[in-house]
Amino acid sequence: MNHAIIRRLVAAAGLLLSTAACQTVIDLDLQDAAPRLTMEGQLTDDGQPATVRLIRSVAYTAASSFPAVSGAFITLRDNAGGLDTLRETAAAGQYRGRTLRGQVGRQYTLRIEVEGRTYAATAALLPAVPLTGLQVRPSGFGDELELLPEYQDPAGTPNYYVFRLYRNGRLTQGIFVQSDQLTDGQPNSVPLNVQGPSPAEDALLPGDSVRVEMQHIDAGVYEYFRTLNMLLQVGLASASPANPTSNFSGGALGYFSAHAQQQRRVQIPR
Amino acid sequence: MPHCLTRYGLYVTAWLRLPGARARARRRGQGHAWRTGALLLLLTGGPTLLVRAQAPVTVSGTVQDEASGENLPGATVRVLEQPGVGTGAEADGTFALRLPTGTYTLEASFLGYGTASRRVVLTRNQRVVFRLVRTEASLSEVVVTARPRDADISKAQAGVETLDMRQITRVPVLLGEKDILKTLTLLPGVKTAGEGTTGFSVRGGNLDQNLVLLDEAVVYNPSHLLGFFSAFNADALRDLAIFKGGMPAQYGGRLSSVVDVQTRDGDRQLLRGSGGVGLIASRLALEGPVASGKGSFLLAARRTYADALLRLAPDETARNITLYFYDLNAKASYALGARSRLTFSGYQGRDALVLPIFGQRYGNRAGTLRLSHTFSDRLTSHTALVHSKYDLRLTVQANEQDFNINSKIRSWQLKHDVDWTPRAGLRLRAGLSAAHYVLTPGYVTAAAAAPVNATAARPADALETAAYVSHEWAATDRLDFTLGLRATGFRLLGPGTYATYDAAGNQLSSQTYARGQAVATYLNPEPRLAASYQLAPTTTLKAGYARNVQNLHLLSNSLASSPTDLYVPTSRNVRPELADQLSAGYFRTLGAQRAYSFSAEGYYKWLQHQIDYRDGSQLLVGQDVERTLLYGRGRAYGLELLLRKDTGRLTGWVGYTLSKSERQFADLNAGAWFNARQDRPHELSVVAVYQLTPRWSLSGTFVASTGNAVTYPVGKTFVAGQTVSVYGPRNADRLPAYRRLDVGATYEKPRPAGRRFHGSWNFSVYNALGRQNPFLITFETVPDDPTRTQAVSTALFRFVPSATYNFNF
Repeated sequence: MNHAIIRRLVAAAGLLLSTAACQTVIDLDLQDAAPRLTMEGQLTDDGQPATVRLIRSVAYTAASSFPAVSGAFITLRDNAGGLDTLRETAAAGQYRGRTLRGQVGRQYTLRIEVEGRTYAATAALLPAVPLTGLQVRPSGFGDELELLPEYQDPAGTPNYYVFRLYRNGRLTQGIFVQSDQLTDGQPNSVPLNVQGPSPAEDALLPGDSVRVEMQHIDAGVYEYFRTLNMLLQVGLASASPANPTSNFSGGALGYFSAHAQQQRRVQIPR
Repeated sequence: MPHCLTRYGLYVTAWLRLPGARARARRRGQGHAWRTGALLLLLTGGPTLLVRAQAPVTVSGTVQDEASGENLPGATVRVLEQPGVGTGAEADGTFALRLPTGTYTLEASFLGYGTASRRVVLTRNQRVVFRLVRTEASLSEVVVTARPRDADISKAQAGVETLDMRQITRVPVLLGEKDILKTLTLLPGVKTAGEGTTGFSVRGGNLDQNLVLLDEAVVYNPSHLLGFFSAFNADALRDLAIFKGGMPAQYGGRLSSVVDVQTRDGDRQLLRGSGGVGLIASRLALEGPVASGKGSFLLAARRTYADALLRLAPDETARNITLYFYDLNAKASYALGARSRLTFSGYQGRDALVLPIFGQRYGNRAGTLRLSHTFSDRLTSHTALVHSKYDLRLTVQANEQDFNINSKIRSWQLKHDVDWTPRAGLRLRAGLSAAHYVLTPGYVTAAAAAPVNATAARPADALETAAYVSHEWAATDRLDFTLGLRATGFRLLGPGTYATYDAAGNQLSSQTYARGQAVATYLNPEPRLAASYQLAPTTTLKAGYARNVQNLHLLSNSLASSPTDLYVPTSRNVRPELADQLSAGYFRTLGAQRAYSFSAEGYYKWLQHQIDYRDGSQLLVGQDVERTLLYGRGRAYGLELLLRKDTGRLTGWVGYTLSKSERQFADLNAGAWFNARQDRPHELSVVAVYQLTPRWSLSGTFVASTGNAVTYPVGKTFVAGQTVSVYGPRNADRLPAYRRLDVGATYEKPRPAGRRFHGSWNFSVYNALGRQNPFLITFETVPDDPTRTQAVSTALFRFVPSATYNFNF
């Protein structure tokens, strides 16, 4: 919600100041750090085993093609004694479990051993909060549309959510995080604003088919997505940007999320 | 090929944070535990020091403006026969000097005025009135005097600069709004926080380490309109002084600098007015005598009119926007008999930016009621009651679902100062101050149907007491000392629940305190030492050491100073910030008529208990912000060179600063030292005003500096379906070098004899070379090619013209 307010205030402030600013693509002499491991682990309550993707970062000026990291030893444990080993699939750098399935109420620990170092992350698989509707409405700014996911926040506990939006089957850039810090126990009133930093091709148009994925995440995963979002939203960049707060120990980039997932589709009327 | 557009997202950072809040479940009744218990003593028993056997007498009097009769506080009175002996006129324009009997030539001078001298034969106490003539009255030679001539050569104080308002008037600025804070940043050692902002950093300090005083009252947020303009209406001001180091002991509360802004006294003889019409705002000021010259008043107002223009907009959304700022300054003084003077000075400024749904309103208030009393030619006292307030409200209005986020800080202060000159070459000053603060971090008020829950306001009460003594002593004709000691006590008071946290931000303990109970108490001595040695009549060496303590901390994570920045007090977790500064300087006047002055000053500063956010922190309402804070240390050092010319047709200065400012936090940047944000090793500024003809004067400023320290990506990776930058060491990169030239011209209409009305035009172009100075560099995926990424520079202001019409009558 804060971001929504802020984005609009900013838009208005900029409009009112109507300062003609200039944007230029410039050449910068960027330092290149050694490639860093990036790990992305997922476990949902959809009956599928856990998946992990391991890649390495590249120089900023290089092409966006990220080398896969093979040969990792990866295990997943739950707090009920379950243990699974994730094996590399046919696709290099992609690992997949076999036995352990995501179960609501359990806590999962992912351990990744690669190149002599160990990284571990723990995430809780929280029960789904029902996504009861998906409204399309005007954002109030120009012709832009926004989506309102309808759900009732459970009162009394801190809850965190992340929403991903697929427009005509394609994942859009926005990562929408919500926390009930100010809205505990309330029906949701915070829309997913597609305008702002998102690229123009993510704008919602009449006739679009839209799918929203809602994940009920724990505090550690929220912290990762929140700080990731701060980096991605240009205007919200901190004066001294730093890498997102990972829930992995050991200094890796990335996150491990266990979550209950729900989705809803909507067709935007012409 | 650059593409230019109206870019909305630039000042996003200024809006980034909602005011944070402390998770202190505390109940609060009515009223405040106002326990300042103002115990005021006359601290006349300072150190008794070698008093030489003499038969001293006192010469006292006032220094006045010849035309208006207005007293001129800060004017300098020198004894020409005794180099180094002199004094400054007090706030009420009076001065007193103790001298052995004899014959002397006294010379009075003041910025922007011609000097006046008087020969006196001193056999007993004597009064002298100096009437100085404004040098601008004769337009053939405009003198832009920035400070009392030789002032920093004859006293031990180093690291101080003063600016005259008429000098500031002629310096070209953005959109023609005269701005004292932006002009300050053209002096060496004072760095602007960024293009178009009023925030500044002094000698490597943080933006919140500057004490900005308007007639002794703190202005907590001296900015308007997202920081584009300063809170001060130049029409109401007389001058300002900035202390960059070695602050005199009467000042305290911030680590890096004191900016002491003084409001003008009203004219004591005639009712007069002045004003101006500019692109952004219009101004009007009225002043005049009251009670047949026993007192005077000044009222000045300024308001913007962008909202009036918006009413004409074709778009209904635009018509419903509220956008303005205004400020009001008032000053009145009244003589209570021959020896006392009562002065009131007040300021109120407010900003509103309210859109159909969302809005923001904020404002500052500052007021001082001051009683000055002259006991004798040697002893004066000042008592002041001071009030300051800053409040901010973010509003959301939506069909009975309205809610607001509010935060504020307010303070009341009572202070008493005594100034005693027992004999020539010895001056003792002492004072006591007690200030009560209430800091209310962000809380939510919401209508019943609002989509968010209201949160409780959790104000924090604090009491800050200070006492100081300062001893100015001319040890010999050439050697001067100023020895001062200040002691600052700070106590955070209940009621409330306050927690302690470990280095990782986990709560260790929590305790609930009753009203008036001490939560945390700190006492810090602040020694202030300065010495000067006059090598030759034109050359002085100075050195000083000063410790400063800061108990109110402004948390800001943005690039620009922002109205949503949050003040937090020293607490169980947050220690008082400390700074120790050593400085030394070489001061010299040059030229046949001492037209030039040159100074070279070096400093080294150690900073302790510095505060920063944990990486990725975000302030949210209802959270205890202390959980997200980290504590570290800093170091800053530099060399400042300044060559000024204050008289003649060409006036101005050239300043150069070579400096470094670094911070170290155990949990940031892997514990290694990193560059502070405003660390710009090289900074050059040139300011020139040239009187071309009696009617036309030209002005220009040129600024060049290293770019700000920033963090660029050191790589990229792919996560959550996106290409994401990878960051390395903090602030290890630099924005490209900054260069800007501003030019201006002033046309003074000739004033026909017998006519009071007089007008002038001021024209300027900001960034006249049109250089695209990067304000911000962002990194993004190349449009149309998702496999590549690029750096995009955003430049703010180029070729910004302005015209302002000013008048007085």
